[in-house]
Amino acid sequence: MLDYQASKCEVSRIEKVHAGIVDFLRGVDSEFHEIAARNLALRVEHNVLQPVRYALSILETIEHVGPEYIPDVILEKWNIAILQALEFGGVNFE
Amino acid sequence: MNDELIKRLEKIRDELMLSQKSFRQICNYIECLGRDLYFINYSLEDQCSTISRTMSDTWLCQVENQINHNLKHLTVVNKLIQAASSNESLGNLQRYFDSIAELDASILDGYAEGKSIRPVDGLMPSVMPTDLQNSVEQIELVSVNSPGCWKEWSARIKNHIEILNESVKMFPASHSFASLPCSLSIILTQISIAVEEQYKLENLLEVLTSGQDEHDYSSVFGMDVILIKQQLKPVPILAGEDE
Repeated sequence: MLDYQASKCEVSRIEKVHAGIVDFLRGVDSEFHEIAARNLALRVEHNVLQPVRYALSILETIEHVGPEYIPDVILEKWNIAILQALEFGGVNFE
Repeated sequence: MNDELIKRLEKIRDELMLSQKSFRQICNYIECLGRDLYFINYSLEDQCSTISRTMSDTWLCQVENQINHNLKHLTVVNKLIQAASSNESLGNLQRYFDSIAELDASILDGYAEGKSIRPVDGLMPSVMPTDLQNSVEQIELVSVNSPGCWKEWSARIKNHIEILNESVKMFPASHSFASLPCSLSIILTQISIAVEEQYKLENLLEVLTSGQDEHDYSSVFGMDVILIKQQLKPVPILAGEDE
């Protein structure tokens, strides 16, 4: 069984790191790099931040409801989403 | 000489009547259990609840069969008491005495008190404990209305398991249907897991959709809500109760 409390701390940390990167990329003020930076920010947000935030919402729900009250079919799916967030910081980025 | 015989016959009659009362209570209980299993099976449509229904039906038939034996013995005993009381010749009734000889031996063994392992058709192996009688009466009363949600169904199934586990203790392994309450308890434990899962789905759906419109899947758990709705079975209810 996953340690949901420890996972939540780690996923929160990952979320902060990637949110910081996205903020930085959006703040790039360069005529030459601006479009590329915004594209990258969008890709990071879509491919990394969204799954990480989904995992964070899952962890908050599990904490609120209690893991023993989550149906097996959902808990299996959620565990995979949490593990993916922990392992890849979202999805397996190409 | 007849006085002693009449006393013995009256003792057999009393034990048979006590057994008949217990068999009828068990019979009523199995009918309640069968009804609940029918509802669960109708909703879950799984193999466990289907098998449990056939098992409860088998048990009901076996208990009915025991009641028939009991009534047959009771009629014979009553006739013998009548004949002995009016000092009629008992020689011609020898074959009837033979039929109740096993009953008499078992009662003398303490079979009706659960001290013997020699099963006799029509006689309860032991007196039904008062706690069990109360539990059975309680579940018969509440079974008039079906539970309104999966949480209540889960509690009902657990109640049935407790009653069945107590019933197992009443029938020694050599009894003709000793294995049925035991097997039913095992299969009901599996049904309880499935019902518990439904309760969890019901509860999680409530948590994830609270404060949302019915068809609002815009939240982060939109796909999960769809998955839960696919897995969640309708709560079994009596026809007409939902009106």
